[in-house]
Amino acid sequence: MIKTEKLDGGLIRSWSDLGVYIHGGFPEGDYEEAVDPVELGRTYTETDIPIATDDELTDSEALYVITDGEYGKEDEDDETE
Amino acid sequence: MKKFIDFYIEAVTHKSGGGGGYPEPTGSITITQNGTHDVKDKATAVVSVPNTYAAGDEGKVVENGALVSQTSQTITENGTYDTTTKNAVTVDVQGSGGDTLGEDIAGTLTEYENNDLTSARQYGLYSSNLTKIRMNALESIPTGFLQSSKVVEAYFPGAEKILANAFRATKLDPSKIDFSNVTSFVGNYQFGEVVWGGDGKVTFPKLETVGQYAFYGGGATVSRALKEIDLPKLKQTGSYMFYNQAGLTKATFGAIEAFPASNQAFNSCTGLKTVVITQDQTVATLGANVFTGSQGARNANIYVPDALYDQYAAATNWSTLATAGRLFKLSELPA
Repeated sequence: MIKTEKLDGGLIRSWSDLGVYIHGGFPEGDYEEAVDPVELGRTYTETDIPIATDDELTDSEALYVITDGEYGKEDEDDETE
Repeated sequence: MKKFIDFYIEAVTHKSGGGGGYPEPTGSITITQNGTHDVKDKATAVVSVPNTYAAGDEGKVVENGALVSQTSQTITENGTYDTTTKNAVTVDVQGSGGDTLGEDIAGTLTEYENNDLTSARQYGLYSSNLTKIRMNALESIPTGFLQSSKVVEAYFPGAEKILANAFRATKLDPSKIDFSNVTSFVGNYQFGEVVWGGDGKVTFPKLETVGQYAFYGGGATVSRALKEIDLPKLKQTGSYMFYNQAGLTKATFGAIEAFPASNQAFNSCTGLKTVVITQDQTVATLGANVFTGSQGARNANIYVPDALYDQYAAATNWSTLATAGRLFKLSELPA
């Protein structure tokens, strides 16, 4: 379900409570969440695309960063060629 | 020294088969009749077949997968690699330096130039003492090629791709680099943890696509010396592209189409004050919290083409910036 919340400044925030991207907006596209002027009345539909977590730091990568490389792993998906 | 390093870098190119029960060689070099492979600049060089060959076969020449002759394996100072028994032979070799070439040539080689090589081996000059390198014909800068080296000047005018970690943890001077034809970063961390010298103003004039952590600022001990970046052809920011670049003050984009939310391109870029968008054809998509929130570039003002300003001000997620007084016309950009 699309959830909305009115914000200060005449804005409205939209998101999915299923944790998926929502589609619509301007430029039209898929958004994790969207903030628009209320008066424009933009509506969104839920996609079937889960909000990705792949790009987030893994626990090991985060540990590597905060310990300045002493612990953890610096990059778990380096690409080589 | 140039001959040796040429040999070393070139050894990545595999030219002959390694059948007959032997594994693929790691590289090759062709030596003509009575020719020699000069290693006089190196006290001792080992020119050998891969060490995965059977015990006792080390140092033998393998041609098309068959053992054809015995050769010396270790060449001492000013020695040669004797091929007098062959009119010409392609000898499968691997350099002795492995990934520690930089240690082998410590204190010796500081500059290198090559106009012919189109490819090179991964981590070929990792941790080397080179401070200046020019490779005019190299098409793709390999993974880890100059990572952790002392390189300051790097000229690769023919390169179109840069692979992961290629210049990671170096001290490049942005006024002494040439990546003028690079269109893509493949993999991650190409310029991660670089302590940029000079004025810290970096541009990649043809760069269109990037991976993750391309300009990662590093952990607590790394100087975040990247001050300004200009990416006139980049289409979309990469994940954690400028993560921890707290010294970055200005970023300019000439062809940007998307700033995705989840990739957190500007995570912890607290010093970013100015983002300039000159692409004037369409409004770029903007994920929530790219320029807001605790991890976004929350201190940046955004300048967009005058003709698109009204569209930006009403666009999804951009409207937050307009309401906050952080969205401006390009004509308002301070000189």
